[in-house]
Amino acid sequence: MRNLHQLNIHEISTLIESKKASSLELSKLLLKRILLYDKYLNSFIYINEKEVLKRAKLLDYEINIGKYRGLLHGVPISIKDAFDMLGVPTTVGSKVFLDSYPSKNSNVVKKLLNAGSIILGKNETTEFCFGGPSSDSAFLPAKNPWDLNRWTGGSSGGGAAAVASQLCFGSIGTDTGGSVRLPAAWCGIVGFMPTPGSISRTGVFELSNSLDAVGVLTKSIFDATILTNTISKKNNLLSLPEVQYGKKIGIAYNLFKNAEDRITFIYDDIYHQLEKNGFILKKISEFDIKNYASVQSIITVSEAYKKYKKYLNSSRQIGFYTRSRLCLGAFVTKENYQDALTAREKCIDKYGKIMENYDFIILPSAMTLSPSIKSKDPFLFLNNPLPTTVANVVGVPSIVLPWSIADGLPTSIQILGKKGDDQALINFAYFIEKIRKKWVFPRL
Amino acid sequence: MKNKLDKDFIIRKIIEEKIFISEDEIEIILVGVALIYKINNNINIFIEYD
Repeated sequence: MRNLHQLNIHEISTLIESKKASSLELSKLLLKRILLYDKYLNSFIYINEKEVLKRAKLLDYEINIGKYRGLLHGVPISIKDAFDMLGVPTTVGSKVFLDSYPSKNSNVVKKLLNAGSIILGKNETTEFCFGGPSSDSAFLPAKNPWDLNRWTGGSSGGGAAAVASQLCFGSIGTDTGGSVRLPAAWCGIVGFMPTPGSISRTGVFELSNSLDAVGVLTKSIFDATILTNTISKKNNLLSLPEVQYGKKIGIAYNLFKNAEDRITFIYDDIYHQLEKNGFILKKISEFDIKNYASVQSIITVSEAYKKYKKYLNSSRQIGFYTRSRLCLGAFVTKENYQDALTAREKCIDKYGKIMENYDFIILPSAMTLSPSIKSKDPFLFLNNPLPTTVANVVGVPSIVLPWSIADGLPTSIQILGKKGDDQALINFAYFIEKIRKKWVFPRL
Repeated sequence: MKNKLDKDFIIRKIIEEKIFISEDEIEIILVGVALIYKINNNINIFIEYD
């Protein structure tokens, strides 16, 4: 029998509603796990134990008097240190913002609290939510629970490590080029970025106004649906997932082939599994991510520099890794930026043409498995185009989910959908989750 | 458009923009600027020829 922390949101939710588990008991259990394990993981930068326990008692009381708020009632989750939450500074991992207390909650936090969830605390992020890795920000970088010598990916790495280690039932992150989905992939969990704009960014740290989006990190597709529905602007953006057959799938063969061996290896397995289940598959031989990644880099660097250049002028409080990335914006001219916007339109057009033939595209979540945490390349993502950048540039939903384990590390696939058709993407991802081998999380 | 790696230009720009970078950090910044120029060129080629 599984322990309470090993359950998914929809399973724990049923227990809470039927009073077979209490929010207080759950919160105490997770706080204990955080105390025990997080000194090795660095996934949380802030925990408010007193407030958590007080709120858990209130939510249990509500259940006892018949006031049930919904599927997240009494469920402990966490948020990235990029979302404003009253009483807690929004530091985005930077010494510059250690005393930056917001005057109100972000819209996402408001929605989570209204839904009855318990926000255990804030998760570590790469400084300024900008690329990574960093080893000189305000907090220690999160470590990958599959191998503590490896990185989680960034920037929402703390949330991914916390969910994968089952220290919370889900986490909310931000994604400008893969910041939710890359850590999800490297930590072996689900990372979902709905169509950009579906979730409010009010009260959320801005890196790139053009490309930022909010996403969720969960243990299952079902849970991703529940969390997304709770925080999206539109009530019930998604229905609960159901399996749908007969869709047309493009698989970016060239990307799997050019990825590291352990990722290349999963291509045949996925192809075989989908073909066996009646999907119409087509191998895409020339899916070029370089242009998408280039557009993402120039827009992000330029917009981030314009917004935060003042912090480069007078202070060395920003770590060198972040300073070195931010200052590159000084070398992007207005013409370069305008060219990137023009190229973005062209990318959108190209993607639209590709999608005339498919319902979804499957591609690797990343071209490698999780790298060493000691990696010192401040320009890791400029040097290595990320397949996750496509969705931000084109403005479509994207989901990553774990597929297999290779040499003790999770492999993952990414699925891209059509703008606004998040439901179809969730349904398809749910199907893939069903045909995949039963998933296990790191034993902690 | 300044797309050649001109160390003097880069250092002058860093000073003009009042960016806090130490002498021993400058070599790393040069690597980053070279990457940005390369990416800008990729975009130009994509717009012009793709």
